[in-house]
Amino acid sequence: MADTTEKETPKLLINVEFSDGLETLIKDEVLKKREGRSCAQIKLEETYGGSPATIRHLAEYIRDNCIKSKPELFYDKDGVRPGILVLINNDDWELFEEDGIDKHDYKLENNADVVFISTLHGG
Amino acid sequence: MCDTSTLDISAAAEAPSRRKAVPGKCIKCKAAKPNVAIRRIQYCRQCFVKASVTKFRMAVGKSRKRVAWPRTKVLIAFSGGPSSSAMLRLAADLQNMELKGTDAMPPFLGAVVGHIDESCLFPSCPESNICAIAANSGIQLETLALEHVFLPTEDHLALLELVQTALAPGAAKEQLCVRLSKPAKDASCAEQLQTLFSNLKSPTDKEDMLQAIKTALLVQLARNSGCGAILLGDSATRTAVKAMALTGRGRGFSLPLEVGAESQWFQDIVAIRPMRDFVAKEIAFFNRWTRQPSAFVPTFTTAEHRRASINRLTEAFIVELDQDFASTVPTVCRTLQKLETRPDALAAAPCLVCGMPAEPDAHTWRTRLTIDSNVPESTPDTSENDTFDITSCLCYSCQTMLRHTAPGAQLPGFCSSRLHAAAAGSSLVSENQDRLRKQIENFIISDSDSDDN
Amino acid sequence: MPRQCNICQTARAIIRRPKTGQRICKECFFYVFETEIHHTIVDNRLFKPGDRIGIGASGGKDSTVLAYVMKTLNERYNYGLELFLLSVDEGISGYRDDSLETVKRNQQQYDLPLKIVSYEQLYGWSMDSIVETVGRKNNCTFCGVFRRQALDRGALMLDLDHIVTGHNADDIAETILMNILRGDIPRLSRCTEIATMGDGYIGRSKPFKYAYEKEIVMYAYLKRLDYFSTECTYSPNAYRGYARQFLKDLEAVRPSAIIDIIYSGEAMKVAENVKLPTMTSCERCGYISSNSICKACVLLEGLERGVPKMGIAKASSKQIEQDAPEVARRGKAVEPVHFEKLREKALNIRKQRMLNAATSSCSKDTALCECTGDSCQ
Repeated sequence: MADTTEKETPKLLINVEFSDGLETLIKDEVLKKREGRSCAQIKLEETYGGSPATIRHLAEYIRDNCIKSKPELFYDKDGVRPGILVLINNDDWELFEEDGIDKHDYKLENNADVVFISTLHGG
Repeated sequence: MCDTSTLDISAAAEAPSRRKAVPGKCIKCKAAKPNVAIRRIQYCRQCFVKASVTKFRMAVGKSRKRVAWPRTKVLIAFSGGPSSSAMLRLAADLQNMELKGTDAMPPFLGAVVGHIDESCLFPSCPESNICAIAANSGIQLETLALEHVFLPTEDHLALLELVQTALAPGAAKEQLCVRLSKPAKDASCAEQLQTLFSNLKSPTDKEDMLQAIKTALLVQLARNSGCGAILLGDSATRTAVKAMALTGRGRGFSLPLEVGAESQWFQDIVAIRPMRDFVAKEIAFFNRWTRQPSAFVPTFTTAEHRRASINRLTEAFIVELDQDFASTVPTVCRTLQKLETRPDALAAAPCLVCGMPAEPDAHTWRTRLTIDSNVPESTPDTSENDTFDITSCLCYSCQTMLRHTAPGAQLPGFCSSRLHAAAAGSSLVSENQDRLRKQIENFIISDSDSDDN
Repeated sequence: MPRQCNICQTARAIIRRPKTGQRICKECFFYVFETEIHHTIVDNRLFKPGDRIGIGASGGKDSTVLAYVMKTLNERYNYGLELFLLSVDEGISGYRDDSLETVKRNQQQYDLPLKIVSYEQLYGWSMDSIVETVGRKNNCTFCGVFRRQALDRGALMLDLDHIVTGHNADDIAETILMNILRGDIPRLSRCTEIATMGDGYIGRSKPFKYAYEKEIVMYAYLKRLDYFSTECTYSPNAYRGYARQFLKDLEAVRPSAIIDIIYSGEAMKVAENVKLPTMTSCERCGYISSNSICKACVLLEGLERGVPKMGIAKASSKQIEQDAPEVARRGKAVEPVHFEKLREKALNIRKQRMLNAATSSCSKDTALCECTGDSCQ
């Protein structure tokens, strides 16, 4: 699926948007403003330890590489901080939570759109 | 202590009727692929937006029925945040909607957007964005800035200055005494506001004071623009957080007034909370799918840790609990619907600071069960100086706030207006009421002809 | 440099008082702590002279301090109360058996008569055997429901007027928060009451309603009271754990939060149009109940019939009936004594006591002996 003309391991390109205050947590060099929205393109490995990249890998990548300070405001011990909504290709990630599967385990495809929206008061 | 209750929380989860849900389809149209799940109920985008519009209209209609709210002009309180932006959009649409048949009149006799400019305290607040969002609604915008509360007006030429919070170190009957004073000659209103907030000890106290000021200004805005009702944008999530935080701050008396779907505490102005049935998630999706912009409004605890303030901590607690027990927010909201204001609170005078009922005996309650001295209670003699004990004019929670406040702090102008009103009326139960009334009158007379700013 | 006590201004301050933040000396701490309890007792008119008061004693810090303070205040202010230690043996090996040893020492130390009632004896089931049957998930429900009744039964055996329990301000604040969170309106309206009528005959109250847990611990420590400090070996309710953690966090943000919550809770008024359950008597045992059969009897029946879910889950009664195994009675049954019978006995004890008092002035002990033994059962 991914372009493998380069010799590196295959990468996934994920289009990420941060909204409702989350953008203030993200390093300026990562963010690009598009129509008033705060976006970023993030490259993930196609697989981690043999299993395909998931939302959890994306969130951990953001926590480790994109947050200015206080990563716990984005990602606490168990996952994306409660009160932050996630949309995957414009759909609520909780739709993928059926049958006891953790929404963090949703498998990402190349070029997926992921939006993080804070619903927390004042960020 | 062990738990003796057998209420199974997850089972008690309001299991909304999954009316003949078709697996993998929207609950409403049963055709489209769902795009969002609200407490396990799945909706497609169109049906979700439509349902939100209906829900808002129903909420407004129900409030009207419950308080026999006359058809008046309304003030739409607008902070710029997601919930009030969604409310602005919904209210504007409702106002412009073509209604059929007998319901042909729009629900409001006109609307005004009321916004409080907080940039004096939060310079990063995107004021111009907020105004642009308001303008976009096509409804007239009225703004007051926070520092407005320090503008001299006829009934408060003098400000209340906190004199002392305790009589002796560590000590006996704590008292909240004030004297009437005038602001430093060269201080602007903005500087006075900033000084006040720097005199407040904790972010919790600052949040309390900010809330008090915003409420006073919104009521003022509504009166100035001839509105008989204020629409407040508290969401269900916000309501649950607020209720727990108010409880934690000793505001049980005013709780039903501060989170209720309707409140008539302000006599001439009804406060309505039509967003109370929307959880924060619904608002976020509504705004996104209707392309309704909102602004990021900072608070005193933005980017702070969870224990930064009572509000902050309570929000973290409720949001986390709601993740584990999906019915937490709606359950708390249902609890609140079953509470009402006590008659003694409704009969009380408004607290000088927050404007909510200053319940009688709040001070006695505390001192009886918190002894901090080994000498018998005595009323300190204040007759010789120019200070007044305002303890009985404050609600329990504002007493707590002011006990933490640095002496010398000057309270917003509306506090002296309220004290003046209390002294003029008979609601100030105090032996030095006459003295107080005289002095306030003297003060006003002696200053009314001098130039103030 | 040593600091002076903020209160007496003479002695050296040794503690920072959680409730006020003052730095105070030991004697002043004892004074304010005890006087606050005294205020709570007199302001709420918890007792009247001559009352026979049972102190619910578990051996833990709260009830040990309660026993000590009750005895102290009774003597200092001449309340004219007759005090008793009343303990419940839930039958939890490694926990209650050890803590009961503490209560027995307290009996000696404070020179107060002690009565112990056990689940085994009252219901035919110890907590150990209940947990064996129902598992660890809902056992706290059984324990709580049975304890409440057990205290009332014990009180009737001694013909007491009133039971005091060691619930402190933290417990009450936590309960208020819990009841808001889970929408339990009847409990929310009851949980802030300082005094209630237990079975309708015997009053209940919480003199420590406004006392901080931290201060109770401090008091026990500074007085070197003998108490038992192990947690119950059966895991506590997880949901309450959330509320407790939240309360601790709130207290860290604003130390007065605990009494502020109680103040809020007392101010809350249930709307006129909300229906609250009406109280009646259990058809089986005569205990006060909002249903025709009280919770304890339902739980007992479930245990006896091997359907321990009875009275726990909100499962339909039909389902429970279907799940019930064919074998009915498991033979453990001890029919709990009917409350009418207990009350009758209590009345007799009272008559006897009054008679004794009339004939001789020092025969109090006779009446006591009669009912502290197991013969009452």
